[in-house]
Amino acid sequence: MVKHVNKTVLGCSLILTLFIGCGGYDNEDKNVVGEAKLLAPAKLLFDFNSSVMQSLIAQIGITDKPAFGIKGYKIIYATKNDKGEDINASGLVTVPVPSSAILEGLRKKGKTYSMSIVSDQHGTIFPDTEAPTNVAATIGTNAAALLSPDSWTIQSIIALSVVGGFVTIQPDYIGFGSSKGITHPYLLEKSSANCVIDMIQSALKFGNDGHLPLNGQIFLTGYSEGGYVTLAAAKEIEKNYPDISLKGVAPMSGPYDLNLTGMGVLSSPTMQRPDFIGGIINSYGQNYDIDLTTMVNEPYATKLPTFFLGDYTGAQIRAELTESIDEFFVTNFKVDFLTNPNNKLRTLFVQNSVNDYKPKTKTKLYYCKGDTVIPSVIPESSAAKMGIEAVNIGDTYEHVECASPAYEAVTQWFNELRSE
Amino acid sequence: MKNFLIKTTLLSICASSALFSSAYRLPEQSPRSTALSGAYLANAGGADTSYFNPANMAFNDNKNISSAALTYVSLAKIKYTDDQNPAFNSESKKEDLFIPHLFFSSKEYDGFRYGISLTVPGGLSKRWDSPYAKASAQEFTLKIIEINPVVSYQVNDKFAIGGGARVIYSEGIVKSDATAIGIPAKRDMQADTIEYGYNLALTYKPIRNLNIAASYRSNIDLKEEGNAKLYLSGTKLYDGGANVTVPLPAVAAVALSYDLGSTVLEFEYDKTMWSEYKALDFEFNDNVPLALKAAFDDPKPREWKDTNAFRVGITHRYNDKLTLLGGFAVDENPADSRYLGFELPDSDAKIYSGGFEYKYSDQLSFAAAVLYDDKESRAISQGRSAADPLAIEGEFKDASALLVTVGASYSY
Repeated sequence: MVKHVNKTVLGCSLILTLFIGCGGYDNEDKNVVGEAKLLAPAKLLFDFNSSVMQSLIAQIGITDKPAFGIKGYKIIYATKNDKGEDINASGLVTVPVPSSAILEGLRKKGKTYSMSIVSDQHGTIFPDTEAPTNVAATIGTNAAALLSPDSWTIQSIIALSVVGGFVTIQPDYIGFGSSKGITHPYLLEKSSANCVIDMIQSALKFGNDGHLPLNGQIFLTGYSEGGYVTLAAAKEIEKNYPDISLKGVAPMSGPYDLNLTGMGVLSSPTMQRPDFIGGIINSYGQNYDIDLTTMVNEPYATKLPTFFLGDYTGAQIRAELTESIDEFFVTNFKVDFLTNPNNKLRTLFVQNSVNDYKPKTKTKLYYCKGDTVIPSVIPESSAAKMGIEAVNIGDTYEHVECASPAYEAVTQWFNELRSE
Repeated sequence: MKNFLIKTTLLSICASSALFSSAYRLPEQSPRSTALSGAYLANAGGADTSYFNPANMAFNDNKNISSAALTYVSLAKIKYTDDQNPAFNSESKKEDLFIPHLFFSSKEYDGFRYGISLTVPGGLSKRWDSPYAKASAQEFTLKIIEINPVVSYQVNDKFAIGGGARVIYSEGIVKSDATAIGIPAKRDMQADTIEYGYNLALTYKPIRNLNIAASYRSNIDLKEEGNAKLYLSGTKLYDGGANVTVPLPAVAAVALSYDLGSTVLEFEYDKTMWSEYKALDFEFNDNVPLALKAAFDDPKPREWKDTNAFRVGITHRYNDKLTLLGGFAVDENPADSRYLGFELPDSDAKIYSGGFEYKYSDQLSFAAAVLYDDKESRAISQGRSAADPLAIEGEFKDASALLVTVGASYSY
């Protein structure tokens, strides 16, 4: 009997082992969305209630819309640059706080308030003081500082969070904020995409931890360099991040086609913005280990690496550079770039152009016909290539003047998409 | 790897298990039990008595007996017709699956016998593709496999007792997707568990032709633990641990069988303690995004009630080789109409069955059985309103199940 029972127990054990121990589920612990990205507790930088914001937007002529209060937080998150190196980046998360009147209005319509996220990528900056978290840090308790007409960071917060009720997230970018001291990877596709995607995931973690009523809607927008960064991020998300669903993508006035941008610049006698062009050359030289002296004449080749570490303003950099293409670029390099499709920088520009995919997400390229910094041919040809709409905001606006109406138009479009 | 493959194969066989009798309980596990509509307790005999009534192993011939069976289950599509919104009309997927059963009963050792069984005592699978139904139950699958080692002891010629340990492996899948009805929330959860319980049985033979038997299988709470992913607007907001507990309820049964000579009649009453199932409560190991809390984190009341089943079976020895079997049962459903959902739109059923055994030799016999489970239509009115726009207001119909079981038994 005992012998037979032992056999039975053995048989049981064998069968049981078939069922035990495989598990195999991805994660059975805590919520891992953004878990490995958010590196430190968020730091509150400003906090204004809806009454204060209502008065504030009245001062800029908005009297027919209810204002949200806002709370701004600096977060630090993990990202990687083009070389795959770990970077501790930072960004600003502005959380709208609905007034009781807004909530009541929604309730009457049978709706509840939930939060959509807009990741807004800023345009080209040079001094670290212009990074979103540093701009926000200077606001403190001074609401009047939000009326600054010179900061895209603030204009964006007013449009998207105070009026629009979106959670606005604004990455500082690599090289600014917490990663100051690293050369900003200017118009490099991977770094640009990474810093946005990692910030989105960190913001989701931040929102989940803070019990924010996130609704999962993610929008992307950004102006100038931010337009490029936006499209780089959208392209990468559509390709490799199925768990992030983009509701709408609205890049504005960005150099999406770097080859076309470069050809335009080098075929002209002068540069309108040598600080921009110097930044690009320095960024590509450093990232791809190209000797700057093979592209740029002295003394600029020696000076360039020192200009883009967050310590100089654009005006200071421009003062140190020349507007003359022939003075700035090595002649042989210029000729080779313009005539040789295999020119190394030209090849890299093609590789880093972000208009080489067909978006599945609703995507529109906003621009101004009168922009001479980012000529309209760039957004128009990119939109045609990508099979999407290019939206002309105005025929007369220059690059800087175009930003404000473009943000307004984008906010309106996102607001429509949010309600679909 | 080999074990993993075997496990995977077994689970695949049991995948999508069954839903056709008393919610997700599956009483029929062998050709005889299927042919007798589950009226198989007092007159249980052979290898499969190790599962249905281990006390009766004591009255088996003094041989080792093994049997194996395979049940094909065909679950018809369930149709849901909404009373208010034709866009909510839904139809579940048809399910075809195979369920294996293994049984062993030993010869006697000083009054003791032992046995073991591998069965699928419950399970459910409901899959819906229609937008409204998919919003709450794109897939609800519960797989349950039981290994049940048992011992019996013959007290005297008239009385025997038996009992054993229940080892349950269970795996659950829950998916829902409300995107198509304008609520962009999705859920994808997979979990499993191993749980334990016991079973007891006794048989008393007051006179030569009469068997009286009772059995009890303990309640086992299946705490399915695994991973859940929650999405809003297509963006993953939660990816972490989660668990949900559902009962494999206790079942108490009494039966009597009477041998008329060549014919045995059995009457069985069983009570399934579904009242253990109070709520469907998913628990998450971390904070659930606020906007998903009400949909996925808050407990959903179920408030099931205990159910009664009445079964009758007839076994007729046609000749030395052939035995014919037939059965009928009335089986209640436990689901409260107020809380009934698409994951299990259960209703009362009538069960009809039949089968035969053929004795090929003294050692080897074959058996086959067919069972048809006819579910009643069920109209539900849960009070759809602005506050609860997805409440069920309509009728479930056309639910049914067809089982075909074949098996072989070998004694030595």
